[in-house]
Amino acid sequence: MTTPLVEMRNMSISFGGVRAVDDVSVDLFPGEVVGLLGHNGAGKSTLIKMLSGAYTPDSGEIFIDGKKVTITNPREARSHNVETIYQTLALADNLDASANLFLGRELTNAMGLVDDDAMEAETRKIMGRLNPNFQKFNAPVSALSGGQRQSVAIARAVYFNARILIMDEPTAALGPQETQMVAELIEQLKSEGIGIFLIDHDVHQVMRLCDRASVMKNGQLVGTVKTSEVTDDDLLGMIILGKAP
Amino acid sequence: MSIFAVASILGFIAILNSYQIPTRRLERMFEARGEVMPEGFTQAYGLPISVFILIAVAIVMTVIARRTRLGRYIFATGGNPDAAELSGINTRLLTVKIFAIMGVLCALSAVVASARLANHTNDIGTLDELRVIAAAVIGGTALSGGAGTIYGAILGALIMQSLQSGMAMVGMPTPYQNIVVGVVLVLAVLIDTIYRKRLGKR
Repeated sequence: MTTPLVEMRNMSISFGGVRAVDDVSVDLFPGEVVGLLGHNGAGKSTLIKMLSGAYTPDSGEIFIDGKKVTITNPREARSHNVETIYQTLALADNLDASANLFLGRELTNAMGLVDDDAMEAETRKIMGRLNPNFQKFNAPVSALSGGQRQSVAIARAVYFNARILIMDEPTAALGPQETQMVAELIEQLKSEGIGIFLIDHDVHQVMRLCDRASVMKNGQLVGTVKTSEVTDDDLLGMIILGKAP
Repeated sequence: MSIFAVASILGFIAILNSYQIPTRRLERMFEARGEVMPEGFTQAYGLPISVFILIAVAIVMTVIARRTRLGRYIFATGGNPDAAELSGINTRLLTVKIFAIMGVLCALSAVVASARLANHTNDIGTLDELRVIAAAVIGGTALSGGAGTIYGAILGALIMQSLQSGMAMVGMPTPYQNIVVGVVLVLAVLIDTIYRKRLGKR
């Protein structure tokens, strides 16, 4: 068996008196999509935010390529090639698409100044691949539609050669056509050997896109199953009843 | 072409200002102060150094705001602090840097303000921060953050100072002047808030 790309062992975190994530272990192999399922407030996003650096875990260990790492802020997560598409998208509404795409990693010219032209050219390239209908390159992202904003957030995660991609409900704001586009993108990234954590509410979509699914309930892991070995109803049962099949 | 135009204008001004003030006018200036002009005294009009400082600061700050990573991060953090933090920007360090820049600019303005007077007490510039906020808001800076320009703030300052000087010229008592400045500040913030509410969240 190969070494997992990411292994999160015995992760726990509390907010005040609430144990949001309680002793959860998940792993992810290269070229694999792992779905995270569960009710609202089951702790899916919180678990994943400990990997992306937004939260620091109370206890637990994270291994990347078999090496133990500590991730205490988003910069460290990025240095391990962990990219995240947040549920809230995390876009600065007052800036345009290219400024958001390169936020924190601006391209600079020889004088060390921000090179807007180069960034816009790169943005046009990646958006041409992800969402060819996207035209508003000079408008602040607050002027964009939900789907367009989503494609900016996805472009940001994909552009910087992520090895580990976290998608927190990437299709929540998208229409059927764009959802299909995201599904194709996931397939493509998977074939490139990128490991993807996919948080989603849609059981059918998880069954279709994911190799394995981990189900959480009330901050605890119900179980991890191979999607090829269970039915939609088994997964639904795990989500609702909190029992492994 | 534009460089040539700017150079010729600046050169013209420099020559104009290096001309000497006519002797008769100098004599009158001394008379007005109740003094007698010393024999053979001459004086040039001189260059307005504080205006040059303003231009230099405006150019430097515009470059910082629009063309550096620091400026980009300041606007991003103003627009959405959470997104900036999640994008790997150290927003706490950034806040310290912003306050440091403000401190330097404040010190510069204090030097200019104190240089304009022969002597002054340590309470010079009291309540100027209100005028500065009003100037920035009038110039299009959003109080909620993430929007604004340097030249806008300068235009706003020009408006506030015109108001102030105008009131002083018509001989309005100082307390009333402060009241007017305060009312203008409140109005500016109110209009800014209403305007952005209509413009922003659709």
